[in-house]
Amino acid sequence: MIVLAGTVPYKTGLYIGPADVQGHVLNVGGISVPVERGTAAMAAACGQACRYYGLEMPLCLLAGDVGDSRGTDLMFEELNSRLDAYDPDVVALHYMFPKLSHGGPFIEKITSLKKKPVLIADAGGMYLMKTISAAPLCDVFTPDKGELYFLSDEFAPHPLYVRSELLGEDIPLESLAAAAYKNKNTARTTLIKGAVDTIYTDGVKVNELSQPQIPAMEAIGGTGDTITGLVAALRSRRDPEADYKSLAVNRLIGEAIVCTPATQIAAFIDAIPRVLERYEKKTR
Amino acid sequence: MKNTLSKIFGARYKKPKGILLYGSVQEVIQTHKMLEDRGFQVRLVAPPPEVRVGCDLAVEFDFIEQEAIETILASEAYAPYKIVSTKEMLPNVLKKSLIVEMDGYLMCKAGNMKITIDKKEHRIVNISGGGCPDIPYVAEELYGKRIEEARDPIEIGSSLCAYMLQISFAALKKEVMGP
Repeated sequence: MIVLAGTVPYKTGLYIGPADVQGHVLNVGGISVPVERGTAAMAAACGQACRYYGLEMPLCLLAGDVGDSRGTDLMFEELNSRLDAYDPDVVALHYMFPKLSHGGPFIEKITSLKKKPVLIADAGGMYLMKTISAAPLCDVFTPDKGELYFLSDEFAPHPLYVRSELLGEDIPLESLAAAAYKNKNTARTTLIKGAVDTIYTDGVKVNELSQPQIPAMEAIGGTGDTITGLVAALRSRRDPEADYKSLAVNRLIGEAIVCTPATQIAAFIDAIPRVLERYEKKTR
Repeated sequence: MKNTLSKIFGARYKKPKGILLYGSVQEVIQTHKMLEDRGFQVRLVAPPPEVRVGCDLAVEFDFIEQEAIETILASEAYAPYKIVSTKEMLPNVLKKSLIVEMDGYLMCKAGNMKITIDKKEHRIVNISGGGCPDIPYVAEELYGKRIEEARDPIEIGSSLCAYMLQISFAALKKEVMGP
């Protein structure tokens, strides 16, 4: 089972249930949240891919949290005490308040499972895993270049603290990735999103994609979240091309819907089944 | 890269500096602005690791000014919950932003936070990036509003990502409205 954990802008609470994507709304555990960005976009993308491939729908642990961390606290109470009950094969951590005190018990829990699930971390989940030095225990991180600066900077506890001096240097992506791996501050696989998407595994560049070129995607909130949702579904399916396919399909969606900087992420999520269908047919 | 990092990190002050700690990012930003406006040599920094919660900000000051700062903070009801000292040269915060023009839109990015407006009406059409829980909420509040009329992101959110969004928001607003 895929377990997706993250916060949504909703009243404090923990809402648990399978992802039910209906149009531009995600229904989970009795609440309905618009698929606009963040965890909802990630879960909806994962749900769409699971539905397409006939996989069990992902189980979502959605924490209602608008920034005071109370929802995040509830989410980690559940993860750190009951994760084993869900028997996950993939766990994805997403938007959250990256509270250091949650990280240690979470790692303890996940490493105590009989079968360690694939651990994917993006957004606040990635910030937390890096800051508690647990990045090497993660299987996938999905940073953009701004976040790669953060991963490469061994002292920064948050992207805000990446030194302006460092940013001013415009360091090549290869050097940043090398520093992130050398300092054990990134996951085994790092999917770096950008004008050129780059895949690193164990410190080695294994692939990159630059086509189709869709510059508008950088402006659209949620285009990274859809990659995280897609890779969770594809890794659960043990697709050997999971990482590459997630990035490629995301770009192809941008092309298929002729996106502009004003396009909303819901349009991407709508298009996932038909673009996956086209991709699978073409590469079969 | 290694040389750059070693130049920037690991440095320590000869004399300790004072650190003002608050319960929220918003309080830190207000205090920093108030003290800076009054001419104190203060910096926004990451709190020292031993008192760090995970998504926080602090104000660094020179101990020589402690008494004056404490008096002002008490009189203005800005008292911190704790003052600590450190010799560690704490990270400065990111201030750099970059504006990119594309197909009738302007996008501004600061670190991992991006905000985009249409050039004609200056309406906020997208907010991208971030990982803190208030960002989807802040984005929902700002979407569709003209940047000249929209509330500051840091008034709506309270995380470090909201503060980074504030940096890109302010730069873009300045670009369309002038200094």
